[in-house]
Amino acid sequence: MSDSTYISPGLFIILGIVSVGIVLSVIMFFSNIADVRIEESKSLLDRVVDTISDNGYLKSEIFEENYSLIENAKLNNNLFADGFIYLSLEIYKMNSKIKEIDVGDSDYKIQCRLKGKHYPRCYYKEFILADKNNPLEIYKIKILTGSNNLGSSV
Amino acid sequence: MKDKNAKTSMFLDQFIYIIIVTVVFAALLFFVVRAGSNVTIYEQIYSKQIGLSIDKSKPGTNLTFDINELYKISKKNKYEGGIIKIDNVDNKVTVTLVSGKGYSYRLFSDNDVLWELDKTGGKLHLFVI
Repeated sequence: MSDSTYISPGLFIILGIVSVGIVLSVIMFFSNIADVRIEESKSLLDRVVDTISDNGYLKSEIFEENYSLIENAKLNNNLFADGFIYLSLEIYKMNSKIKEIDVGDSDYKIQCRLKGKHYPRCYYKEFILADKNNPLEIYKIKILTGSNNLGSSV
Repeated sequence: MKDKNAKTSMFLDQFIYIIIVTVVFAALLFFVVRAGSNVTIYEQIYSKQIGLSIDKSKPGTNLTFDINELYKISKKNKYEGGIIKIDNVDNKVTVTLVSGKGYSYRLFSDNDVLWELDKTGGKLHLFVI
């Protein structure tokens, strides 16, 4: 066997390296193909923006005491309660926070900064909205959404 | 005689080499094809695609999905039950292509969805309320 030009330990090493490479690539590709957490975070953020704004103006009802973002945006509260998604909305006026809405596991604020397969995928947006009654009054809006909703086999 | 033996040995080496390489690459090809046609992958992709579309839709939106591929796979697996179920109570989409299995994706949207499966046309019609 050692005299063979074709069959040598090198052949098995090369075949092993190629095989492991292909198998790992396929596993990585198919495990990521259905990861839509970042898209879900973006959609959730868009839903919140649509709910609180009206043609570039901030809806005044958001400052009402019993305002519920979950109800107004028609969101599934169970998904927040089970820790699969997270939403944080902060409204600033002249650099001071005047309203904060936090729904879901607030640990997401930290986890969103961490990289890893098991950490949520998050989306953050900062923008300006004007007061509808007084367009000179400007509000700075900061929204963070996160998702760790991977789905499950039944 | 020695020369003939050496030649035979070289041909044997070549033959074994070709067999080993063919077997390894056939196994890899089988693995890649099997991974690509895995039922769970299809269940995941379709449940999430439908789920995300519902989440993204505003009330009054009509959606139609081509699910011919799902019918083909379920037929191949001899599964005759409902391949898609949208649960408006638990807000989730479940795709089942093999009996006793399936994949569920929970929605963040609380909007109700009217849905209908058109088996002959291979379509899923949705209306977000």
